[in-house]
Amino acid sequence: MRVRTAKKLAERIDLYYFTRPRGMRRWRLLLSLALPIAAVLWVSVFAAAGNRTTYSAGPVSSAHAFTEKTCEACHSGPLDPRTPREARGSAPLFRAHTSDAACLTCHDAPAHAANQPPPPSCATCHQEHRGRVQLAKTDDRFCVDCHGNLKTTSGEPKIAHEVGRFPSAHPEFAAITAGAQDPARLRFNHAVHMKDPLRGPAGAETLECSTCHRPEVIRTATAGRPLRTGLMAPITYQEACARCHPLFFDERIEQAAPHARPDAVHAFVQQALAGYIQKHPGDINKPDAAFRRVPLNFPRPPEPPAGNAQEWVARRLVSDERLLWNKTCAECHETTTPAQASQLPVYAQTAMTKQWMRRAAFDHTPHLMVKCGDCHAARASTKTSDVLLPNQSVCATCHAPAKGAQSQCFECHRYHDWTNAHPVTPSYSLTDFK
Amino acid sequence: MLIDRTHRPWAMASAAILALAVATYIPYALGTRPGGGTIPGLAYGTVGFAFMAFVTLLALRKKFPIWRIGRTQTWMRGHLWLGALSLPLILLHAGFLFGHGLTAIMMWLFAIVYASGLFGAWLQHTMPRRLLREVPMETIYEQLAHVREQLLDEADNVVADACGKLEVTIAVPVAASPTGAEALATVMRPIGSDVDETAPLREFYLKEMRPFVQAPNRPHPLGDPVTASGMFAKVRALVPASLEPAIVDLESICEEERQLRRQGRLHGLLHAWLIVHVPLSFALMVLAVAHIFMALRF
Repeated sequence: MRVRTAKKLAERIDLYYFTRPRGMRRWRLLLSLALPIAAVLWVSVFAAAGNRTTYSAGPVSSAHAFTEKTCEACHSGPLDPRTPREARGSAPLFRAHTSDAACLTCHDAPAHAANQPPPPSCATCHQEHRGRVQLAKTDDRFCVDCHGNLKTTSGEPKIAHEVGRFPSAHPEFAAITAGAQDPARLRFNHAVHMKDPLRGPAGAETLECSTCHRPEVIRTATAGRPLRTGLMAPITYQEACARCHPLFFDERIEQAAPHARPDAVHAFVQQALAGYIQKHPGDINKPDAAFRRVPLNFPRPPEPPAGNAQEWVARRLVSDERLLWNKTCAECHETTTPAQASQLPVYAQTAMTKQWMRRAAFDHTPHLMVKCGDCHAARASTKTSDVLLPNQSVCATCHAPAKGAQSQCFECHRYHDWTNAHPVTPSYSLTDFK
Repeated sequence: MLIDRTHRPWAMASAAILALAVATYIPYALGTRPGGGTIPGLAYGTVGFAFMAFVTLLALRKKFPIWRIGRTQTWMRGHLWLGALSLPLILLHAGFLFGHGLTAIMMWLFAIVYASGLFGAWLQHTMPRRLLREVPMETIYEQLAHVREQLLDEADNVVADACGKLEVTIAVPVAASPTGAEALATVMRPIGSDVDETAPLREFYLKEMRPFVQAPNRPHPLGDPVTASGMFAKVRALVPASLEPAIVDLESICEEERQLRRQGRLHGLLHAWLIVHVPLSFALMVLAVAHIFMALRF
């Protein structure tokens, strides 16, 4: 009968079995040696080939895609001859971190503000190796880091001290804060002009916003087609007003006065009258007669007929300029020095605001699909001093984290003050990026 | 390793470390874009790598069991719990991104190592009890072939003692029978009047049982205890009662062989994951060192 005793079982065991790995132990041992060696070889092959894309934290941005395999373009170590001398400093030889100097080799980066505390490095806000993104689209937190509790190196900040993300923690636009007024020195009533219908030169008509307001278009030497600036073009008399408000000054003369400085208007009127009387000398002895084009609420006292052409021109000039200065021009323009007997009037500069948000850039172009009146309350505006800029809650209708349209700082604000831009001297040649 | 109450301090400490890491990560992630290059990111990475290094050192600890650097059981617990913490910390380090190139490869390797480790921990927790229950005749796994050879010798001796020499006189090959023991009973009849009465046992042993013990990787009817019992019953019917002790011994050897086979299967299951886990862990550590070097440089 078979009996299993401890002694018998112990006698079965080969005491040196562990010295010879078999089966899974052997495979484990082999693979434990092979895989790390393969890993070392893999890393070494890339290192020997000088290819460091494997170690890259991710694809670089679209603008820097050409440097994808030229790490040294940005990661310049102290030993790299292309590293600017001032950038070498006391950095450890081992390190090849990006430096501002590497960015400034190709880019200009005007300061944000003159009295700002030491700014962060370029790479703090413009974070690379995050795929084909636009580096200018920085994260809001970099702005809020400083503007959440704004400090300056000198003086008090001239803007809001505590600014957070739009729209919840963003202050109201400065242009429409309480008491803000349109600084334009012009008499204009939007509500009157948007009445339906108006009497136009060709009969009844209804004015649209776009009848007077057009997007500003510029032409540059580099662009093949006109470019929109995103702002609305400044209103000009010739384009927006002249059609309905011609500057006629005398019933005998078909020409309207130019929309120009008073001295130019004076010269034009004088010349027009002289030309007229030269062609119509028989009118010297005719009495005045009211004409339909001339407003009838400025009756002139009867005068004896003029003795000669000069006297006729002088009399008509006084009469016509009185009409122009006191009625036609004054309908829109304020005089700072009213017309005296022998002096021309002085009108205030209209000072129409072209760009309302001085520290932000609003682009009308992507908003063209929205009706003007949805943002600008022009139909109810009766005074020039009314600020028709929408408040930020109107913007937040679409531009909010939960609404779809982006609401990040860079949408409206620019960090670098590009009015202080400087040209950059090229440092690379095409062969550097082969 | 059985995960029982003795693991509670490790489990609580691990949970506390994880909670602390997550608690610090939330304000960090809300305030900035998480990444490995930030100060908190570097901190998570450093701690995570330290844990990875520690759990990898278990292999070294096992190589030198006589070193007085803590009990192996403590090392195992550290391996289990600090290893469990390492992936969350590395994910916090990476901002839950798999990255690109080397880092992506490392993260996938880490995921495989981690998953295989979890699977292994579950096996280590459940399998030993199953082995104890199902394989009472368990032996050292690496000794299976050696023990099997001895079993074969023992069976040969049992049959030789009972039947004399192991040559057979039956002409019909039993292996040709289609249904094992049932066919065996009809085929293995004495050929003549001078026939050996022990021949059926000898034949059964040579044609059925010996191949069963010799070739453990092939499926065999004797591998099933019910079928085996039936086959032995048929043999009993064909041989004199004096051979009963030999048949009992052979049945016992068959049972031991079945247990060795089961042990081989369970052991394979219990340790096969290590073929994935250990080599990939070493490869991961090599790549992690390369990653650290390049990350600190660039």
